[in-house]
Parts: sequence; C-alpha cells; structure tokens
Amino acid sequence: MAALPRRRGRFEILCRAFFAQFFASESVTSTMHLQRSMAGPLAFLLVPALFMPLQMVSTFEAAAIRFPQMLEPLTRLMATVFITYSMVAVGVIAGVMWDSLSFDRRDAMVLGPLPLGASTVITAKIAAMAMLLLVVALGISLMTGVPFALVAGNHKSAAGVVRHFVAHMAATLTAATFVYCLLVTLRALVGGVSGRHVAAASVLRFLLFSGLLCFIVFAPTALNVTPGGRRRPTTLQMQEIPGWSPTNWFLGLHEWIRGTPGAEWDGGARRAIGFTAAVAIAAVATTIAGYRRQLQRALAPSADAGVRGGARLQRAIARLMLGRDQLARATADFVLATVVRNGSQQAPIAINAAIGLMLIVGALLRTTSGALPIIRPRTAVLWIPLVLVYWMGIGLRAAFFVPSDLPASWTFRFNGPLRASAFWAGTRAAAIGFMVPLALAADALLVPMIGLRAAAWHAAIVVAVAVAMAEAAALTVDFVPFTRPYEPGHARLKTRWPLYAIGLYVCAFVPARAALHAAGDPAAIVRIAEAALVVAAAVEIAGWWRSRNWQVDPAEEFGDESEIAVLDIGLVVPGALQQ
Amino acid sequence: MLGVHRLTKHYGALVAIHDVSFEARPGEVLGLLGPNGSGKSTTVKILTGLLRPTSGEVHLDGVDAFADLEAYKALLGYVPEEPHLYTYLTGPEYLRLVGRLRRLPDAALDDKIERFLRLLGIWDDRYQTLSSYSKGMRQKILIAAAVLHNPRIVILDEPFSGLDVSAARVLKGFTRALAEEGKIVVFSSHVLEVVEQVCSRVVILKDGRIVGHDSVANLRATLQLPSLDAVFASLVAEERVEERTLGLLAAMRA
Repeated sequence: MAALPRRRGRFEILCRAFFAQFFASESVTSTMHLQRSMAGPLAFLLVPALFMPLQMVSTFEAAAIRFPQMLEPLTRLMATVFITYSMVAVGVIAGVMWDSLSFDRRDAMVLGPLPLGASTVITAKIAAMAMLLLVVALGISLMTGVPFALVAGNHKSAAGVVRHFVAHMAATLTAATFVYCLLVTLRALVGGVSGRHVAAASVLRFLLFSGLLCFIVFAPTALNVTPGGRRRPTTLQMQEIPGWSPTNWFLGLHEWIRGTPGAEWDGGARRAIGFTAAVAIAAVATTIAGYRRQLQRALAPSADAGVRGGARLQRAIARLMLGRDQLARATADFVLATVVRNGSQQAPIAINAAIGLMLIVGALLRTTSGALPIIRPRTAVLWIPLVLVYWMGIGLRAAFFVPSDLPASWTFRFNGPLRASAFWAGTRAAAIGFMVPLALAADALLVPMIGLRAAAWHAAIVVAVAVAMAEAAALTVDFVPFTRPYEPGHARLKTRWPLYAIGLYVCAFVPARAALHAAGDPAAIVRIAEAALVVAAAVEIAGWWRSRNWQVDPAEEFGDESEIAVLDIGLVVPGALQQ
Repeated sequence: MLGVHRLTKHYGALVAIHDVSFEARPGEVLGLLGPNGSGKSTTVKILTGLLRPTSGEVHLDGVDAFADLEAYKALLGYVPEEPHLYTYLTGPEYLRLVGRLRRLPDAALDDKIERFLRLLGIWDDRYQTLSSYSKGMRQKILIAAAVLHNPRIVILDEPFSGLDVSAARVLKGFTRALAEEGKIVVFSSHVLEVVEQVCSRVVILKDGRIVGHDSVANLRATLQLPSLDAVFASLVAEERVEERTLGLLAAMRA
C-alpha cells in the first residue's frame, strides 16, 4: 500500500490551506485583484496605528516638562487607547474573515473523502486561526508598542523602556486574543445553532466596523490639551473609561507588568488573564465540538429559504410598484432575494452603515456635551436616520456590483430579453422595497429622543430620502445587479469622495434643516412636498431615459478574440526598435 | 426547420469548430456526439444564442436566428451541461424567475411549477434552497425551466446527468414525446446507449469537424457495425486505447 504523507506533513499542508482561505474571495478573480481590493482597507486600518504614536510625542514631552505628575495618568490613557485599538482592529479583521473562522461546505467536500483524522483537521484549523491572530495582533502591537515604549520611557531607564514595551505587548496581545477568541466562539455557536448566520454575520460586521470607526472618532477626544497663556493655565482633559469596560482589565495587566502599585491593577490583570484563558478554551472547545456538526450541516445545509430570509415586506412593496410586469417582477424578486440571503451583498451595506454611524457619533460629540441636548429636535438629531439611510443607499449601490453565483447569470442571458426597461423598473422597485423598511427602522431610533409624533412626521422626509437614494442607485447602473464580474476599484473613492460628501450634505443635512424649519409651519411643509414632487418627477424622467441603455450582459461565456489580453511588462529590448 | 450552415468558431488561435453544417427537423431528435473537445458544447452554445459564431449561420425556417436573437430565444428551451443555478433560491423561486423572464402569466406559471415539481418528485423540497439539492434534483429543475414556456426548439446538453434510473427513463420518454409533439429536439450527450435509444439521427463531431451524419440505423448499416458504440469508435478512432489504459495503470502504481 502506498504510504500517505507523514502526519506532520499533512498537518502543515492543511494548516497552509486553511490560512490561505482567510484571504480567498469569491468576488476577486486574480491575486492582483485581491491585493488591490485588500490594500485600501488595510491602509485604512493601519493608519491610526502609525499616526497615534507620532501625535503623542509632543504631548508627552510637554507633560514631562510642565506636568510631571501627569505622566503616569497620561501613559495609562495612551495604553488604554492602544489596547482599544488592538481589540477593535483584530475584531474588524475577524469580522471580515467571519466565514473562514469555522469549517465550511468546501472543507466538507474536500476533506470528507480524504483519510484524515478529525484531530489532524481540527488542530490544523486551530493552528491556522492562531497564526492569523499572531500575524495581525503582533503586527499591530509592534507598530504601536515600539514608539510608545520609547516615548513614554524617554525619561526613564532602559530597563523601564523594556518593561513598558513588554507590558504594552502583553496587554495588547491579550486584549486582541480575547476579542478574537470571543468571535471564534460566537462564529462556532451561530454556525451550529442558527440558520440565520448570514444576517448575524452582517449585523456583527456592522457592529465591528462601527466600533472601529467610532474608535477613530473617539480617539482624538480621549486627550484634549488646551495650551495656556499669561492669564490662563494649560489644561489637560482625559476621557474617563467606564469601570465595567473590558479595556480596564487589560490596562490592569499593563500596569501590573509595569509594576505600578495598586490592588485595582492586580484585580484587573487577574480578570484579563482569566477571561482571556476562558474564551480561548471556549473557542477551542466550540471548534472541536462543532466540527462534526458543522461538516454535516455544510454537506446538507438545512437552507430553508424562510430561515435565510423571505423578504416578504420588501417584495410586497416592490410588487405594489410594478403591477403585472412579469419581467420587472422577476428582476425585483431576484435582487431582493440576493440581497437578503447573501453575506457578500450585505457586507457593503453593513460597512457603509457603519460609516454613517461614525459620522453621527462624530457630529453628536462635536455638538453636545451631555445626554440632554439630544432629547430635542435639532439638526444633529434629525439627521441621524437620514445619514444612516444615505450610507445604506450608497452601500446598496456598491452591493449591486458584487456578483452572486456568476455562472448562473446565463439564466438572464438565455431566458430574458437582451434589453428592457423592465430590468431598471424591477431594480428600482427592489431598491425602494429594500430601503423603505430600513428608513422606517432608522427613523424609529428618534422616537425615544423626540417623541412618537415628531418622529412620525419626520418619517415622511426619511422615507422620501430613502426613495431618492434607491432611485439614484438604480439610475447609476445599467445592468441587472449581481450578474457581472466584480471590478475592483470601480467606486473610485480616491477621486469621488467629494461627491459622497456633497451627497451627504444634500441628502441628510439639507432635509434635516428643512424639517427643523418646517416644524409647525404648514406653508413650509407644502413647499417641501412640492420640491419632493419635482425631484421625483425629474428622477422618473431620467430613469426612463436611462433605462433604454439597460441590458443583460451580452458577454460570451468563454470569451473570444476581443478578450485576449496582452500583459505589457514594459521591457524594451535594446536595438529592437532599430531593426 | 433549424439549419446550421458552415459554422466556424475560433477562440483566438484555437479553432473550436470548423465548417459544421447540419439540419434539425421538427418531429425528430437530433443527437450530437463527440469526445471531449470535439466542439459539441461550442455548437450547442451557438445554437442557443449564447455564443456568436466567427462565421457561418444558424437559420430557423430560413431566417437568420441572430438577426432577431430575442425572438429566436423566445422559441428555445435549453438544458445546459453544467447545472449553474442561483443556489440561494428555492426550486419554485428559480422556476418563477425563469417563467417571469419569459413573461408567462403568474396564474399559469404557478400551476405549471406545481405540476412539474410534483411530476418530477421534488414537490416536498420546494422550501429548500437549491444549494441543498442533489445534482439530479438540480437537473430536474433545469429540465423544467427549459420547457416551462412550451418551446418550439429544445436543446438538451447531457440532460440525464445525475438522474436516477427511473427519472432518466421518464425523461427519455419525455424527450421522444417532445419530438412526437412536432418540436425540434437537439440532444448532446456522451452516453451512446441513451443517444441510440432517443435520437432519430446523429451528428458525430471530432476535432471540430463532422465525421458522421445520418440516422443510427444507416450509420450501422453503412459501416457494417453492430452498435452506435462501435460506429462511434470507428469514426472517432480513439487512438492507442490499450496503450493509454496501461499507461494510466502504471501512473497509478508509481
């Protein structure tokens, strides 16, 4: 009998394969596309780690000269910021790689028939997940730890610098491990118990991205130094971290390693180590316990459509708009089913909604100093649902470009007409059907702040903006959503960000101001309604005009001569031109 | 009548089919045979309008099919070789999508879908998404989708792949019945026994060219061979079969 590879060899191969899965994507077609699509988010994630240590140099030096007694609190504050950053960044990366944090259908199909023991497969998966954690957390901790230790230990001995560095690395790595293991446990539990794991993953992504973005907003406000003058002393304000926050446990570990005396640090350190060990054990245990169950589920997924999302309300809204147009109804049902049942399409919506939440938090931080000012109608309050709706609309449009079961798009090419305005009508109705319930849910957030009556009035404006966003999303594409290959970088954020900013102003700020001015003024309400009708008519005309260009992608299945690409490597052979 | 005239298709430097001509008549099942890479799939995709030929024409009743592709495709039903479906839709949802794309009225569509699902034995799985369907069940959905609109031309590319014996028997009968209804049926397959049972005439392709084109009985009689399998082996002339078989065994043992 032919010898199988030795156990260690198989483990290594599996481990590498599982690690590679973290970076695989259905939406990108080549390594170059993958690198291009990963570069932006990674840069976004790493920028705070690069800039925060640089920003704190002057603050630390000023404190060392003028407020030496503040050096220790300042060190603790910055440690808290770095610990939080480490937790949030690792959380976001785990959220992006959510599906790969557990065994999936591909694993079951490939590994099932192979003569591999469950222990080899499970240990390889756990090792790959640990490797990802190590690479990400170590990278982040080193990037912040080295400059932080040098700056904070500038006025101490070399041993103090080393001790600070060790404390920083231990605290941030433990904090990252805590969050990561918590998410792995959650992934295993959600995958094993719930059929709604697609929706759960999207909600989690929204929360994690919101956490990261809010951290970016909060971080600069954690420390506020106001330079003094002749009559005014320099003031230094630091944000309080609530006692219950897990961040405090890891700060306790940080201070305990640094040798700061205090029972609270010892208690925090014990909790940090205890809870991290507990969630690490839970992550391993749930991965082991869920292995067989997850493989069974992966091979024969329950996949009841009702569990994955029937989008009944959204379909009903779309149907109301489309009447008996069968082609448009087919398109609308397809768009809605795709959005509500697929994580890949929900991800851009979740990420964009998180951007909206960040802007809301940022605006509230700038304009309020307590809870009371948000409990009355004002621009920073009334625009909350409008900002969310605006960014969810942007996310929905982005989702249209993410393909879904691309080889199945022959269904449209073969069964449908090549060109039809019904494709546009269906997509628009689906977008409206999708956006309107979200708009009402976003508006409901205002009820505890401004009361039911005012929120109900405001709902009309929020729904109008949601419809406008849906119209805009349908107006700016010319194909049946999800049926074309993904083109990395089509959003052109680098050049188009002013457009998004103007859009935010027009779709959120202006309507919020208008709503505020119109409150209790019937004439103003009539003017707003008139303006809305004019906009709706203009969009309708533009839509019908644009719908003439809508078509099912006519690209041939296997390409032809026109698709042959030549890679220009820029190599010039000396003398070749002369010949 | 569906006529293919001097069809040629190039993929860059690769010639997939060259100068292929044949006709498919109402009331008959035309078999399309050939080894892997012989150009069967390319021919089928041109017939369905999914690919455009480099040169040559497809005529339906003397009219160029590509002149009004939409009208031509409205008359077609197609079962592709690979069961590419939207896996997050249920069987009825997928059929409804296809039916509505073909503008079938809802009442008739729902009735048809229910009847097809019951007759094909997948009614109990109507709430499951296609991701949980077996290959045979997906194939049944594709067959139902292909004939949902009562097409005039039915093009079947390996339609019985993954089907159990009884379903395959039913659908063989269904294929013959389609021809008896006066429809034009093109049947592409590797399974010679099935082709022999189902098809009235066969076109045998090799390296993108037609090497045989006649009724199964005539081909057998002309070549004085006992079965379509022997006719196919003779025309396609699989070279060094024994040598390659031994080579495969040696590679396995190495």
